[in-house]
Amino acid sequence: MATLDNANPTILSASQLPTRQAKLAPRKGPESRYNDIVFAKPSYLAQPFCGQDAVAWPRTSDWHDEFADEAIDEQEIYDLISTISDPEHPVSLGQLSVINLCDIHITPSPSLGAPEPNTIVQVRVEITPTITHCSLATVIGLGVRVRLEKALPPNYRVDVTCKENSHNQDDQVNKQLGDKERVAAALENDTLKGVLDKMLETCA
Amino acid sequence: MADFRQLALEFVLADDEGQQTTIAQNAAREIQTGAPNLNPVARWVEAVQPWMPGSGNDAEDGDETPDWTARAKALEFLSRTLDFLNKDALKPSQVKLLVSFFGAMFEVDHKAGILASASALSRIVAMKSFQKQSGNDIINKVCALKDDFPRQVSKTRLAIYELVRFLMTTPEVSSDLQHKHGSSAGFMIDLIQLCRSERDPECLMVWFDILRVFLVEYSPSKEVLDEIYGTFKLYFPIALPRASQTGITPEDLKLQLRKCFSATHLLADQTIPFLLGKLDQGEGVTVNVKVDILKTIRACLDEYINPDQSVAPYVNQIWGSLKYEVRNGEIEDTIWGTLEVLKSLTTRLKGDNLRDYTLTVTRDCVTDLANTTYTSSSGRLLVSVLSAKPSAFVLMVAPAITHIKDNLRHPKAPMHSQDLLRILHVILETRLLLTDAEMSAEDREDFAAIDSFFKPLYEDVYKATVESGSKSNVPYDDIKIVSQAVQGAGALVCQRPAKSFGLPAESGRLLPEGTCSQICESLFAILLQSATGGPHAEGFDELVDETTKALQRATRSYTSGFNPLVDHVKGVIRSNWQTGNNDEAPEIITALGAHIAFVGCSELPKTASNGLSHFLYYIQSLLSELFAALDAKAAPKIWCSLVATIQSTIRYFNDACLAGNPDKELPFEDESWLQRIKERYPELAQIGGDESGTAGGNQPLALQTLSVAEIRNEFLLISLFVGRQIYRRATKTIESHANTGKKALALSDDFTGADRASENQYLHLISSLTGFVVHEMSETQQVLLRADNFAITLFRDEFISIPQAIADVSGHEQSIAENGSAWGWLVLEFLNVLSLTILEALRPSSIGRLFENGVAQELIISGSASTATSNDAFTRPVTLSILTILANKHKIETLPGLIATLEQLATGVIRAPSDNDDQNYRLEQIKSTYALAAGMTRRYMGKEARGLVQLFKEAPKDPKTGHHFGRQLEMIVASQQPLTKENYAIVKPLWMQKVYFELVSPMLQVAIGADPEVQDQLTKTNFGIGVLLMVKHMNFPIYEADADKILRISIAVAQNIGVGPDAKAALDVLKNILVEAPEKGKDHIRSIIKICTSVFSNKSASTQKPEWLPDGYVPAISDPETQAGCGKLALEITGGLPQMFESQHLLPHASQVERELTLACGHRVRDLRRTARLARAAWTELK
Repeated sequence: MATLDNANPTILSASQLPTRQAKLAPRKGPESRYNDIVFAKPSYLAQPFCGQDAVAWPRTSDWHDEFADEAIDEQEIYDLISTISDPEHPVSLGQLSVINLCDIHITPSPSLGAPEPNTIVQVRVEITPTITHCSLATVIGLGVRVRLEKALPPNYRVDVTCKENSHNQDDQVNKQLGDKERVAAALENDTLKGVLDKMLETCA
Repeated sequence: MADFRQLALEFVLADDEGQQTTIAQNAAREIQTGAPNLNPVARWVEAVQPWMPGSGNDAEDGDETPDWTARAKALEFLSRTLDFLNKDALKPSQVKLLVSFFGAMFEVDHKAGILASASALSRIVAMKSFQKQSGNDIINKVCALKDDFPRQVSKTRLAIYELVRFLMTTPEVSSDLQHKHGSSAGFMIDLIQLCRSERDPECLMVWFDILRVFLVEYSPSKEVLDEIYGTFKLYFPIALPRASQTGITPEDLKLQLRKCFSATHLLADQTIPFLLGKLDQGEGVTVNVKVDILKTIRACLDEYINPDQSVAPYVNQIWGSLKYEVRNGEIEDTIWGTLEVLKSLTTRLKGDNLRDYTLTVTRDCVTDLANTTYTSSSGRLLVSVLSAKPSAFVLMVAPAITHIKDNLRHPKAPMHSQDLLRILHVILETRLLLTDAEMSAEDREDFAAIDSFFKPLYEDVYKATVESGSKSNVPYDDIKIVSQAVQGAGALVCQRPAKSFGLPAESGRLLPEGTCSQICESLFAILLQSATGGPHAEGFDELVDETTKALQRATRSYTSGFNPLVDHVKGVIRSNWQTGNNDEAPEIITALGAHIAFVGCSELPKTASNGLSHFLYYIQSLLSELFAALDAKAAPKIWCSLVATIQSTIRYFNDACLAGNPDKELPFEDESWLQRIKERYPELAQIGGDESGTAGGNQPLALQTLSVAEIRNEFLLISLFVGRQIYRRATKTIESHANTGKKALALSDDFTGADRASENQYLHLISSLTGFVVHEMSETQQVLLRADNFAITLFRDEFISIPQAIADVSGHEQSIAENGSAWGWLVLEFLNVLSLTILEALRPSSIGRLFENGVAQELIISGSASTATSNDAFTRPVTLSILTILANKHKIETLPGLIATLEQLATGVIRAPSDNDDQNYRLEQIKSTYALAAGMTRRYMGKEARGLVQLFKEAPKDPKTGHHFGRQLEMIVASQQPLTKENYAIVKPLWMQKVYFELVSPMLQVAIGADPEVQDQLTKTNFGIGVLLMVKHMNFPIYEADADKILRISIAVAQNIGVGPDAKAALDVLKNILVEAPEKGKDHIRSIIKICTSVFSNKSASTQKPEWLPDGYVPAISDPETQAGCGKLALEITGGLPQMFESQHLLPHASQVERELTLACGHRVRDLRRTARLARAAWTELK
């Protein structure tokens, strides 16, 4: 790329990005040194020493439930795609605010609980190019699409568009991104594939 | 008579270092023992003649180049011989001869003889008969090398440098040189000429040292000084060539050169301007160089004598250059270096010079205090100078504080206030340090004169800010400011008047008592707000941390400030449990209680006994509060929060004592601890109701004089007493127990059973409290107090009588088993947890006593033979734990009666079941035996218990409950807290290997069908599950030899038995084996994939359950946690396969696995989705 479309974009620091709000953990200060020991569930009540029915014990695992049922929500989608690298700059799409948490929409809403495997779930992601004439908007959109298709189960349908009025030619970009044939063709282009692989390298 | 020529020849021909050494040692011995009239020295020197130039006795042509190597070796023969020669072996004439012989080499033999000569001369100089005049000669000869010197290899040059340094530091030679050359020091000028182009790091190290020695010990003229300065200055700043292979670090080299700069104050007029000039070069100077320059300036300032002339004239120049390094500096290393220089400068100045300097610094800095950008850096400058010494502090602190106060009145930004408060805080910390510094009477007088500036600080600066911290909804910026302010306020309380030096630590405080308590109260108000005020703004936690630490510090200094806080807290706690919200009250009590515990008990004040008073007062208040809550029938959650606070307090105070490194073995005064505590602390004794404190013969303790170890002992007894009171409150006496008709204890009437979970927690909390206290006692202390009795009487020794000894040793166990035990209430009922933690804390010697009087046997037998099946889910695991502890801490195999009884019990359960037995009851009985085995195996089970192991091996054969019996075997190897060394359990290093060999391995054989008697699929599975659950707790190397078989079993179990705890163990083991030895799985890839995909896709319902598997074998619905755990393991295994095996083995399954993984990306658990995505990516990359 000879010249950069946007040579000097605004970059957010990692601490400014939205993260999953941990459930409120108890205070950890100098005075709480022994809280964990004092309030721990006694070891004799662990398996295999106690019987089949576990003994109720107050004040444990209130804030830490590893294996609870949780549907795929906007934050999870955000975490999947915000780490994609920008094709121009060595920073992530999240840091450039190309991807924003509020522009991710899931229907039916994840707050209704985890959907059945046969329920079709629509995921709509609106990207915001850093400038309105960004020539790479399609590539970015394609990257987001590829990433989500690789990471979501088959009953999730992905729709990537440019946010309204964020691009001079948003209807064209949207058309390209929405066209299955064109997407498939694009993925067979080795150069484009190389760019996409590079972008997705930073996704864990 | 030795032939030196022969020796020399041998030496020249020898290749081996050891051989050469032997030859040189021989030659040295010959010289020392040879008859003097034969002049061995002369013959020895002549021995190298054949290799010397112009000897002419060999057949070489004149044109041919001499053999340099051989000649060098010949000369080395001489020098090496000298190494082994006694220092007094040579006569002065001989020494002289040798000096001139080797000296001549410098002139004539530039190619071969220099290294050998230099090392030989170094030896000779050390000889007793070396004459000091020869030193000058040697240096002259060395200088004769002239241009040939730089051509020598660095090793040779190093030898010469070392020779010169040796000469110059030998006192006689040194004085001779000074006498001969005077201040013009001609020899030095020659040396400088010789060495001016030195670049080798090792040589430079010595060369710089030579220059330093010369500068320090000789008194050269100004011209010579300049000449030397000119020599070393050129090297500055020095760096190590990158290719350098020597062991010298750049730091060594810099330090050596720095020593030249700081060697003499006579060079001050050149060094300081030179160094400042280098510093002011601006951009071109790298950080490393800058730091080097600063360190060098500092070394000069520190080392130069006569600072009035060598330092004072440059003060303004230094300050002028350096202040910008801090004011505008960005790199912490250079800022720090600069501050150190300024500090050194201050320490060297006195009188008017100091006054002028501090005035300049103050003038320059206080204006910057008003500028937000420079506040913090000007603060650092101020502090670096005023902290250097008391006199600087006295001169500067008043204007500094005045300006800080002025600026705080009109801060420009929140950050500005924060910086100003931080500076003030550091000034206060500095004052604390300086108060203890040694000062002349006059200085102290001056120091005292500025006390008045500190006294009103609280009112003027801190009060309003600190008090604003306890309001609700403090904005973020203000929280930061308050955080600074509380630290300052804490430091302010600790200030002592300047003239308190030498007085006891707590006798003087700068602030009046009223102000101190005001500060404590307002700090406490913030903590109160944090505990009671609901959710808080961001950053508030940090404020609370700082406040807690500040208040802790304040009360350690102002000790009488603590008790009012306790009273205040007591009021808050009381109102909370009486009228407060039932859900919030326990949280508030715990939070507030923990704060005060940390504040008053986590560190001992300077007078350690005050700490004990704090502890006593607080614990007394908490205890009375607990009993009040119990009396008022408050909710059990309230009891829990109070007793948890008591426990935290005890733990904190124990830490505080341990920090003073007390003698933990210090014995208690005597065993009648109870009486003593009651008499000493009547107020404490009154709490609890059933008896009153009696002021008797024991005098109140002379607290002031106690050592930390004595304080700790006192603390342990007080805590034990507190535990006792709580225990007694939790129990009630029963004259006739329903089962036995004998005396027993039961839960007191406070326990209504309305909130069973919290009541259980309360029991656990009080028991862990008492257990902790007993645990902290040393072995002798436990024995002296008869702590073993606490575990069986639960502190009701006036009611529960302890048997003295076993009446009938041989039939003891048998009679218990037949007649039943009177101690069943202690091991089987709700109170058992109170006994458990004490047993856990006892050393084996104390446990031994319980076996001596027979109670332990009663506990074991009634615990394992219990006929009661209605055991509560809480008391049953406790019973098992008690059995485990007793079996571990005492060798119960040595009690044949006990083992026989146990074996009999187990045989009855395992081998001779009757159909109408309650299966649950059988399972519980077998669990008891397993619990005992768990304790025994840790310390290697004795051979007497073999029968038990044999029974265990058969247990899974049982057609009805065999699978339960097999599963529960896990109890034997699973880790448990009472069986750790921390809890004085006996744990031998290879116990797990032994269990594997004796128990697991034979079971494994049965599981794989190697036992012809057991071919039934179901029984084999029982065995397999037992093996897997035990192997799960073992490291791979233990079962490595059988890994193939275990892998097969785990696959079979996972295949046949749906998702559940058994499958989880199977997957756990499977994963472990694949991680440790992937090749073992190669033949099973297909099955592994099949199992894993069915587990994580939760299709187990669809897979056919084998016909032979009875219903109810596995719980129908396993809990979501186990399900998710299985899924995670399965996904991890699947995701790991592409890394373990080559793609050709996996490709046939790829499409199917990918399809399943795609589906798994929509798993209901978030963590599993993440694992599934990773696995999916790993499979997609498969080619």
